[in-house]
Amino acid sequence: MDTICPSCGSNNIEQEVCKHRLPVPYGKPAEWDEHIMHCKDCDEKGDFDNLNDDLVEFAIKKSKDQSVNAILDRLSDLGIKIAYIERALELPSRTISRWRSGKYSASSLALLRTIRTFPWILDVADANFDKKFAEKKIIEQTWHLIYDVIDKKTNNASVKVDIDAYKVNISASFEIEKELPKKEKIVTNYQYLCNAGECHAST
Amino acid sequence: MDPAYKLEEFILACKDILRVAVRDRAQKDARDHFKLNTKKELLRLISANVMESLCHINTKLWERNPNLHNIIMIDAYSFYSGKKFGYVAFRYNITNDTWFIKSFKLNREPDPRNRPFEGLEKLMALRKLEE
Repeated sequence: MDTICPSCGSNNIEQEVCKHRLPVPYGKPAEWDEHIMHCKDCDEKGDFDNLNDDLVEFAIKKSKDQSVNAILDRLSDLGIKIAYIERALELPSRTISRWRSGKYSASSLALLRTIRTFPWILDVADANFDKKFAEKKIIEQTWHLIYDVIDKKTNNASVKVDIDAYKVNISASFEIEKELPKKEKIVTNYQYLCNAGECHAST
Repeated sequence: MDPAYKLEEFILACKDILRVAVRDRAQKDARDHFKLNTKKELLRLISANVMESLCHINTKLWERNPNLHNIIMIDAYSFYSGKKFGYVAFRYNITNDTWFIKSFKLNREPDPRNRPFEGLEKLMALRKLEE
């Protein structure tokens, strides 16, 4: 049966095949060949015969299956045990083994992606989602992030604190290395002076 | 110009995958910007009537229509989906009873939700005029 252009009703149609690639979080990208019909009369393009949805769904499912295993492998590398995840999240035992064998739902995949992005969420779950504990964890993680940046970008750091009866002088100096595209390096000294409630920055 | 089609009719038509076609560029944008990977997912979103604050932008003639005896118009709407500000445009061909989604993408116009003081400015300008 001839394909009819849904836009103008013409049957002057030619078929093209295009390669498509879609990123899947924590997995290999989904790849498929998409069939595109091109109406030579009105110049519209699309999947006029509804052939592509099955191809897309199959490719994405394959990548998601692979991503579930990649996420669980990564969590294992981080020292997070399957038994701990199941206990912290109050999941029936062997739930995660079933996910690994491909029997996972959209919600379980969303949960796995969340845990992979924020592994410390498991500690929050284990603490019964206590608000204070959760806030403490967020601050702790924020500090880790800041520390990582300082650690990677700083050659030298020094902090000097002087206290007398009325004043607290805090002087911190960071030698920051900037990465520039031209392999050029600029070293800047930032100095923040806090003097009895007033802060001054100098470079 | 008023919309050429009843929005409810378009939304209802999206329940039937055979009555609606999607331009390949619109499907790609829906995939890239709204995580609607398939035509089924795109039509499900529209037919579930969950696009927030659908607002008519304009109605224009389909200029590339090869059949000049069958005038076809294109309706364009803005909408929200969560934090995203979107744009959808579609047309209807009466001769084959088929809707065609021409665009489904991020709206290039500034999101009105990011201009909270615009209304206030207008009010202040009005007040100045009154004085």
